[in-house]
Amino acid sequence: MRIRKFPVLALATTLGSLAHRAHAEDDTPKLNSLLTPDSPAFVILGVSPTTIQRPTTPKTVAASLLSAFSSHGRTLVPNYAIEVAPYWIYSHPEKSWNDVAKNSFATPLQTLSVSMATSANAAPASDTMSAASASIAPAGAPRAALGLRTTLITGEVDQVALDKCIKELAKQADATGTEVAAKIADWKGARKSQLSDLFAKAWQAGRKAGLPTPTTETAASAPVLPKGTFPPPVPKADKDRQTTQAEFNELWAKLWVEGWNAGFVASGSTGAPPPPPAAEPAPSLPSDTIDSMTKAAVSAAPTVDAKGCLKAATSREGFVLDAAAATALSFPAGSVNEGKLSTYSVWTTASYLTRNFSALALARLIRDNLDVPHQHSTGLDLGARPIVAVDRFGISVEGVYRVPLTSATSKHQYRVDLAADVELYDGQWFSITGGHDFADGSDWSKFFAIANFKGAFGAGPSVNP
Amino acid sequence: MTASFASSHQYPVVDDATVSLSVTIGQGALGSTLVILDGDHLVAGTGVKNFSLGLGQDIRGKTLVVTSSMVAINALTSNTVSLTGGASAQTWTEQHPASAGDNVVYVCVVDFI
Repeated sequence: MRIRKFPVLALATTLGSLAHRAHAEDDTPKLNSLLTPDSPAFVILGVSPTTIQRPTTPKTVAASLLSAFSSHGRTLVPNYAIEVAPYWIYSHPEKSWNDVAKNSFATPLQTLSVSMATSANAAPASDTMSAASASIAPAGAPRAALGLRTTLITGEVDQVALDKCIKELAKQADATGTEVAAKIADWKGARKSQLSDLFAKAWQAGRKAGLPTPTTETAASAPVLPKGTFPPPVPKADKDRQTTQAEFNELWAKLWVEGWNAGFVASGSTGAPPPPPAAEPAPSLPSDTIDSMTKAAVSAAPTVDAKGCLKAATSREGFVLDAAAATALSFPAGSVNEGKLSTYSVWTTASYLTRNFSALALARLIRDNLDVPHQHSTGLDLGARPIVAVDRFGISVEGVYRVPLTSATSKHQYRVDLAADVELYDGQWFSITGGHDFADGSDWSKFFAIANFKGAFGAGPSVNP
Repeated sequence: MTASFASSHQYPVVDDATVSLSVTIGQGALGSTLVILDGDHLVAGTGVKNFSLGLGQDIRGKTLVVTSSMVAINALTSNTVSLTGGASAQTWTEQHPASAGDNVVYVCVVDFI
């Protein structure tokens, strides 16, 4: 059970406009841009880094952070971006899937991601309360941002999709394990057979040597290997084959002597057995190793839809609560010692997700231009969106209300729109959005007259959540 | 493309002590484990905890094959096999870097001696 994702306007084409854009649409908050971001540091800086470092060990995290500073350590390198999941940079071999994912109330630390970024100039964050900082801050003044994101309530997993995945994995494990176990059994069986033949041969020879008169008589019952005699383990890798061969050779020589002595005693002869003749050399072991057996078994095993499994494992339904915070500093003098707090923001998104319906409510608080005298602004964005999705069709309504809490941006802003999506073919979507952006003083009666329509062809997630 | 990693160990048993097995697919990865002892399929599932393999004298000379097939959710995958009831408790953890969505298979072979 999972909500269908509908596409964002990946490649937007304006189909038409019933009226002029009476209000600066770009200044109006868009609901998608207000969702709790995956990488809040990038959002608050207004950057879309093409290269994001995602180190996965403490050592690589440290190395990455050091690379954010210039060689003398007093200035920041521009266009640096890093994203880290602190909990997972350390190994957690004790944390199973059930420990981590089936708990609706996630440990915030486990879902925490930290993002950091720098920009070469004071580009305003996308959709901040004001773009003033870009023009007022010294040109080229670098900025740096730090962001945190976590999921407080994770909802439920799609058990049907998950069961399908587990079944595939079980089949793969079964086919692989069965094949490896069979090959190991064959290997061990063949070695045991060689050793048994050797022991029997030595026993017969010892017995003949002990009989009073040389005879061709053979024992009626074949002797068995002494209890506790096991072939050496299958070599793990090619490099272990020599050691295993040496172990096998040693066991071979030992069993030859033991078989000879046992046969001599079985002849009824008294006295110490004479030394046995030299044993024939131990045969060379085959080139199989556990590594080679495993690789062959895995390649022959049923494949797993790993991407589908990842989707099943990470998709959620039910109630999900995400939260994020970010802050940005500007460095007018370029030095890291003279940074000024310029912006900070807090996001939260609450979602309720089912297969055919989802709804979300969000809030974002942002304080901007804190490094610019008399330009401080504080605003609160509130938004909501229900989505109904059936098969290849989806329809949603969204509304955003921006409350300026300080005077720098004086107008209340609203946005209301209706979006319809249809999947034309796999991954390709056609979307139409009609809506109204307006601020204080807008004429509500013109709402429909100034609606804009956009169509889009593109793939990807969409009318999120 | 499925990555595979194999390991091989020996475990000294004690005649009259019961050997128990636990297997954990770690790092929050989604997976399934199969346990085979000398060709007998003993148990399969997403996790194995304190599964009794039998008395030391009954399993000496046998080979345990633990196969864990998983999909990585994080940047690491691991498979931990623990045995108790032998000469001493023993835990082997194999771990390897991965990318989310990678399919990884671990095979751990243990010879009881």
